[in-house]
Amino acid sequence: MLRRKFLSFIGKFVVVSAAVGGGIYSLARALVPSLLYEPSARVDLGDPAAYPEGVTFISDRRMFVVREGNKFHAISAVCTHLGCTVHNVPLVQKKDIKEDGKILQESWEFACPCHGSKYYGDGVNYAGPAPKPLPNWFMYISSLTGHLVVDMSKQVNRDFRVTV
Amino acid sequence: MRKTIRSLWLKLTWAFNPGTIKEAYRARIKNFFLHWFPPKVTKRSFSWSYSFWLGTISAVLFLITLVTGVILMFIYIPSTVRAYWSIEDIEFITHYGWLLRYSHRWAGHLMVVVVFLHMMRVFYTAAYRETPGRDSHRYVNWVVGVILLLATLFLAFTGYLLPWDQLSMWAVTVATGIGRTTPIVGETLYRMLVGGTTIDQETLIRFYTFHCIAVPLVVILLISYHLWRIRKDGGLASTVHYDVPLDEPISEAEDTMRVLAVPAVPRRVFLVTIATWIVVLIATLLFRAPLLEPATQAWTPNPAKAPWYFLWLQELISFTTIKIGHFVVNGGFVGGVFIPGVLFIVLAVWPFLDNSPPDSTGIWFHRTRLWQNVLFTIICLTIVFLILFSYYCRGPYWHVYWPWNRPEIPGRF
Repeated sequence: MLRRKFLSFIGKFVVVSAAVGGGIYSLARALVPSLLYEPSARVDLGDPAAYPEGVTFISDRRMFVVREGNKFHAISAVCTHLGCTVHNVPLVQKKDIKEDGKILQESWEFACPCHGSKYYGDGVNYAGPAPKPLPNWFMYISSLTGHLVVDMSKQVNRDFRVTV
Repeated sequence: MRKTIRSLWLKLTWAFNPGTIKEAYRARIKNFFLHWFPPKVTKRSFSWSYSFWLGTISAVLFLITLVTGVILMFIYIPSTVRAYWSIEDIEFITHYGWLLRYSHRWAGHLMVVVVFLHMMRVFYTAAYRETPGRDSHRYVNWVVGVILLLATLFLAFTGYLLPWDQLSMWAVTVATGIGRTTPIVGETLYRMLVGGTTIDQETLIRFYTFHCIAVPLVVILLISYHLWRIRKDGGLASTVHYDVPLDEPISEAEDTMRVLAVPAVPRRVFLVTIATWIVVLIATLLFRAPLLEPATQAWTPNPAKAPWYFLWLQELISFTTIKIGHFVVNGGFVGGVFIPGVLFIVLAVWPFLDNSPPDSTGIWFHRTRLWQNVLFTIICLTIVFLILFSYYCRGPYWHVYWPWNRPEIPGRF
């Protein structure tokens, strides 16, 4: 008798919780988008020769393209703290920074207007609440068009450069 | 003719002007608007200075946002292409559009303030406690109230995105970014709220639906329940219970502490409604609602500040990133999710932690509750201080300035 009661209770419990849980789950799951109508992570940035020496801000894809002579790389402009767009701050006087034992000279920095995070010119955070450096994106020269292409789905090391 | 109109008027309003006590009782039962009120209320429930009628004021403010909001829904277009320009039309083209928009905004902001003050009043008077010797469960209303406070904040916040200007864009970027920093569930929650990985059309339509349908529906249901519970729990908290069972004789002392609810209470509700409305109208006439440049992801205003009721969180997240060696916790989680989360959970369960004697129920600043009142005041003052500091002293790149020489960086256009 006790076993029958217990089994009946378990049975009801399973049916009711499956119905309620399944209902809530399906309602909530419908809100998580399964398809994103967002621009491709691969961006054609045009002819590399058009880029001036130093930093160029690509406003519609929120990244910086950096040119040093014939070397190029791309740094994200999305603050790693809470996602504001960081500003490029040119330095009037060049500044020496020490990173991993090496001394680098930089002529610009990045600063976030939202909560005051600061990044060195190579994207490494050094002040404010930012938890990690700005990511560098993978970049290549299209063999078809000769254009500079950035793939924002692939993160690369900070010393990654594309030579044109 | 005049006689007919007069008699019709009297027929419609007799319930509010009963001639005898018997008529007053009958009026309460016969009139739909009056049957919400109990037969009698304690003078304490009724007094201006005990409760300051803050709950009624919040409900009236909610009603104002509801009425103006429905009209605004007819005009506003929730599309990233047209939202900004439809707000500009409401402001400059639509007849009295500015009145609707400013009233809606002011009623919303005031609602955040008044709901918070209402919560403070209930805390300081220990009104979440039971009337001694009576069957009441006021802690339920306290928990419902905390949910309503959160719902009010969420309503105000979702409304913030709708103008689709730079103010909206970056306030929402920061606030949704906070949720995203939560470990494990953060990214899923972010996508549920934003509908993608960036703030775009999907976000706008989601916030619009939250703001206009989902949250107001929840708030209407919860307010109804909140009000119903007040009656079930025997009116505002005090040591006297109004609803004495019929077989129990009412002591004379007790009876002198109570008044007939009709028409005294509806009259005061009416007065409070008018006064609240006037205050909102005055604010509407004196202060314009801001509308910055159209929203763009490309450029963040400097500084980008959250709406004022979230500024204390923005101040917290700007210095709570924890770094121990290579172990880093984003300040967005610590200051934006963990600290407020703990605060709200403690707030919600406070009635169960409060073990002061029952005769402190419904008494302002009862001496047995001294330490908890002090603690509560310190937390409230800290929040207010953080909001004011962040609002007046934070300038470009989140540097600290004196309010009088804070540089203004102009917009891009």
